[in-house]
Amino acid sequence: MTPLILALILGSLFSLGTFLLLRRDLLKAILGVIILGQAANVYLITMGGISGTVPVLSDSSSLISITDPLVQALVLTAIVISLGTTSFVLVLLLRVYDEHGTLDIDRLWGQL
Amino acid sequence: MSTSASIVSHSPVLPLLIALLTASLTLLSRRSLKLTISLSLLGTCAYVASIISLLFSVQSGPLVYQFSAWPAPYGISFVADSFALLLLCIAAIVTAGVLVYSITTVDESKQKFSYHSLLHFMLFGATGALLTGDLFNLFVWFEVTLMTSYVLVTFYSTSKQTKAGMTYVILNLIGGAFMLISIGGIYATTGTLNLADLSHRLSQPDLYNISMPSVMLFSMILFVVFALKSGLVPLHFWVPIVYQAAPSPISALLSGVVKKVGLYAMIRIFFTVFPSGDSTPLGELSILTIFGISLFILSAASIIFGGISALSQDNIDNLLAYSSISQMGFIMLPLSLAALFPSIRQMALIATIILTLNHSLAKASLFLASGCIKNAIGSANLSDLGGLSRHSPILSISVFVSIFSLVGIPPIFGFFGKLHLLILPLNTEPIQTMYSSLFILILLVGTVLSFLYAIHLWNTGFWGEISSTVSDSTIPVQNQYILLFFTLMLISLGVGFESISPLIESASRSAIDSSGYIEAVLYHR
Repeated sequence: MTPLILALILGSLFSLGTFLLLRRDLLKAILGVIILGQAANVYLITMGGISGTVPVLSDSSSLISITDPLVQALVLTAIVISLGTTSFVLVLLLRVYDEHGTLDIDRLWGQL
Repeated sequence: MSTSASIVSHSPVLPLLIALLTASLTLLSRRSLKLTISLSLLGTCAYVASIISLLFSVQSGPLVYQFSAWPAPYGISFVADSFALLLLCIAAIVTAGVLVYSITTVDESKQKFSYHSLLHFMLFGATGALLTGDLFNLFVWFEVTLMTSYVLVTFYSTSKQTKAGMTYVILNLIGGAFMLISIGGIYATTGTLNLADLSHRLSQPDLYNISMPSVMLFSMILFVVFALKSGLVPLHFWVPIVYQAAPSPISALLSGVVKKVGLYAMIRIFFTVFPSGDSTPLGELSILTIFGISLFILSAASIIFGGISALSQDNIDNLLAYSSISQMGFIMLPLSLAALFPSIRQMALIATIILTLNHSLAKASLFLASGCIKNAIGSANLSDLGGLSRHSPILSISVFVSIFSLVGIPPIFGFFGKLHLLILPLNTEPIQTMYSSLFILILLVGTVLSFLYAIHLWNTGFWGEISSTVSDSTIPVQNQYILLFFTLMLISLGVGFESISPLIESASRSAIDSSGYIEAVLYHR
């Protein structure tokens, strides 16, 4: 059951991200990119398998039954990176608004 | 363990540490500009020295560093081989030149504001990306490099730069998400992220229960991401926008360092890691065949499209950006043949490496020249220029040598790149005539196009009557000396090609030596 739910969530996250990315509002497009990045993180978690128990080694737990902890470490790193880029891109958005007075993509890039 | 032995074993991370230390120190010392600049220069010298000494010490075989002494497939390995170090060497030289140029041209207040620190962080990221032996770690270093490049592209945050920066950031964030997806997929199918271990497992897919079609799918996603980062047609559209908006020294770094990181990753993944899995093709198709055919199409399109677009540009930066797209095509075209025909793989890699070095140096010199012109004259439009060759001879000589090095005129360095390209289909055992004739045709058309845009730049900007805007302005001589440095490098590398060719040959050998890479990382601890 869980894999199906996760697959559905992943699918909807990716489609939401893509949908927002195609909006005319730059803020929505950026939110779309951020959601795409987070969807990739969730996807990365599922790649390590989600069936086992918590990855804490003790005498009673065997190596087979735990979930792969590596992907979780990877996702932690990826989350930190996306925190940095997200804050940068939001500040840049503010600067774009300061410079151009609009966040409408058609008006920003239309007369390129 | 004796002290000298411990120094040797830590030497692969030395350049990384030097770049990190310089970046941090220049950030801390920003109250005094003089201190910042001297620290920055000192750090760059130390970095170049460490890279060059490493480059000579890896000629006998790659040096491997295991972080925290975790053995290879479990920890993060750093692999310093002659291929990565040759590219790093050129990145270091370009950065050094850009740094010296920036000291005299970037506003003092802006230099105080973390400019030097950002340059060193970029070098730090590039060093990590080129030395790492781990796929996820490669992603992290990509992001480090890109993060600094975002800030540097939007450095003055003018209206043009914020817009171009936005395009650049959004594209790279999407690219990053896709890279993460492909890395996750490769991990799920193969069970490893270590490049050497990955290569080892791909050579026995049945033993490790690897489904090759999935690996192929994810490798193609990686290919698209790398093509985006190196600006191949049809993922090239960010290149002219960003290069035109970014400050000129930053454009020089983008084409000399950041793009080359994407190129390096492509070569490392597709020629060191994937060939070992190529012995078990899916019917007719193997990873390298698909990669080779797609790369052939993309790079041919880049050569032709970039060349034609460059011809019609009036702005110098735009012309250079389109020429950059075309040159990336020239750099990638031999790679496609290398992927399709293993017998000429090393020769093709030699051509790619020469063209890469040539492009980094020549483009750095050209972008800095364009920066000089913009600073002094206030315009980079060819229609405003004219007669620069009499007005500022040093600058003009540098532009002349660099642009014709891109075209490939002897005795400049670029000639040897073109030479190795041309002997590729002629001098080897007969490869499929369709590819070799197409290859020669594209080369000829591309070279003619690059010759034409070089002439276009030279005739309209540098020959003819001195225009009024040019005669009213003076280009400071101290800014032009650094251009001369790049020019002399291009000429001396061309004239003294014999002396550098062993380095290039060993770099090309280590780029395609999967078994040596696996051996060094997994078994030689």
